[in-house]
Amino acid sequence: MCRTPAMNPAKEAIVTDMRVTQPGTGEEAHGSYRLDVDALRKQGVSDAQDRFGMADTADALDALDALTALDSDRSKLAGSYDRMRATTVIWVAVVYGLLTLTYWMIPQAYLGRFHLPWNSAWIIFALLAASMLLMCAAMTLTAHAQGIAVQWLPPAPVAANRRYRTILAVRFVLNFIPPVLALVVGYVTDAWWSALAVTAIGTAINGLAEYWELDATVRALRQRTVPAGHEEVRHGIG
Amino acid sequence: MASDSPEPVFDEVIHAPVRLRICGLLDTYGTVRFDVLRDTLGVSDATCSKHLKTLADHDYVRLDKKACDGGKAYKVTWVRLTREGKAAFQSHVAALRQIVAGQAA
Repeated sequence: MCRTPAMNPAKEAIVTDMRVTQPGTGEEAHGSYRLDVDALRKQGVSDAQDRFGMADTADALDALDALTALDSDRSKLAGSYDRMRATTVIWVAVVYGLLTLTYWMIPQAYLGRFHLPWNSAWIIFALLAASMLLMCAAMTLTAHAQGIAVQWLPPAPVAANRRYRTILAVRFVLNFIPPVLALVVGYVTDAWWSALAVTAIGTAINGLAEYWELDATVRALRQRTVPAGHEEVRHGIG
Repeated sequence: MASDSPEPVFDEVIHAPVRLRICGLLDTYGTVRFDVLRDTLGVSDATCSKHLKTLADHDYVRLDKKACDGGKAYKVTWVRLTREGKAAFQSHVAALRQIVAGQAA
């Protein structure tokens, strides 16, 4: 077996391991070969050998290469999330800003402060409709640019990532702040600057949360899953 | 995801490098456009098509041709893993991990 300089650490570990434990070498007399066979058997290699008939070193290296290629491809496509990050954050911030403004409008319409010739509730419906349309447009355009169909759930490795789930939980809690604030402020005052202020707060909070979420998404997609001692990262792949 | 710990089953159809990588991308990202798949894998149209056809013949992937946005004449192909394909891929990866983990121990 030839070793290449570009060999990754896990692969190198396997090769080293197999070299040290070759039968018929002097080390056999020291009992290391017997010990290693026992260890391998414990790890289920013999099972794999029985089942697949391909548990020799070359096949293990092939398998490792295959798994490394999967990690590499996943990481490459994660770049599309990274490239779209700024655009996505702006879209999301605008949509949530509009939604926050809608919440500010609710007390105004309820208290009839606008003195409009038509029912003020129509403004709220119009804002809601505009927010939804913007959200749909954002999702469609982002998916089109990425070449990945619109998904309601994040990719499996991302959903399984602890950092991502933590950010999602924090975002869930943060999401309540702008609407509650907008409702309270809208009830207290109808000044134009208060509408601007709550909209800005809604935009900032959700824009920042979306940025963190995308950051966690890209990180999760770039994590490697190839077994390498204790550094192995377990998530949805396989 | 079909299961958290799928039973390791080695699949010769999936094991071919390009097909394994196709399945890996589809398993992670769901439905992916043909050109994105081809560019990510760094293979030609013909190679990508050939491997997708092999996977489709085994009911591992599904190809959907949809009209391009903007009313253009050509159609865009979207590729996704079927339930069978997802299960087979995850079992195959479990088998690969078993081999690698066993040898690396």
